[in-house]
Amino acid sequence: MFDLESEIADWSATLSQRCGREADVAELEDHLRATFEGLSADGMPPERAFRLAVSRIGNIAEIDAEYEKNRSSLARFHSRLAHWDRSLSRGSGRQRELGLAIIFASLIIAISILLADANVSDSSAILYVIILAGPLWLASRMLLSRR
Amino acid sequence: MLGMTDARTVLAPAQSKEFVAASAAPLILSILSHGDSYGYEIIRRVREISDGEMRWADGMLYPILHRLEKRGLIESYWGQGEGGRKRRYYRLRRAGLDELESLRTSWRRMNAMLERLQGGGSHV
Repeated sequence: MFDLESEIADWSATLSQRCGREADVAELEDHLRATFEGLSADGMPPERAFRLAVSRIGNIAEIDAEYEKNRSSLARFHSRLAHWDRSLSRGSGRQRELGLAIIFASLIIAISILLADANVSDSSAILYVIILAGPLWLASRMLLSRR
Repeated sequence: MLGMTDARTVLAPAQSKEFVAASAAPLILSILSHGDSYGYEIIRRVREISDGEMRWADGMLYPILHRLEKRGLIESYWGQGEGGRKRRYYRLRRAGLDELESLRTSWRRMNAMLERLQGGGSHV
């Protein structure tokens, strides 16, 4: 038996996971319901009307990419960080360690490039590494310990 | 299921993403100049006046609306739709009306240029 409310709840949950913003999800859900009601009023059976309403909304990934363009670069960085954090948390301990190793490898490379460009003396180079790597290490620990 | 698109939502060749993006703003602003409206109604109206030629994937309208709001051309507020459910309405702002006028002028000029070129433009 087709249950409209549970179908809509599933759809909204999937959308929330992707797009996150509650107001945007509520707005799209209202659109889905309005489309469904319009099709039902034309005499379409509920299940078919629901499927068609969902497909009319279009590809969620594409819509999300459009929303993404509206966000500031900081918000975009934050949402990418959160996404990356989630995928890291899902991984096993070994994957997390590998993730951490990759972060540090890229940090070391980035710092080396910075220093090579900056053309600084050895003693200040060490200072720069401490200044740059310290907070980044702390930040990555915090990020990884958060679940 | 979510990633599914039916034939209706696929754009005809003449309606590239760029064309849709460029034409959406004047259409939306113009519809809102007749009164406040909401996403579903705006899409229904566009489909109607284009005799079904204009086919947007419905969901694409919302990021465009939000962009117009961010630019201060329109503003949104939450109200009640049928059955008492929450619905987001959009209203044209003064800046949006000015933008609509300037977009109308640009499209009119563009159209006149194309017409002149088609009608044996000797000065090309």
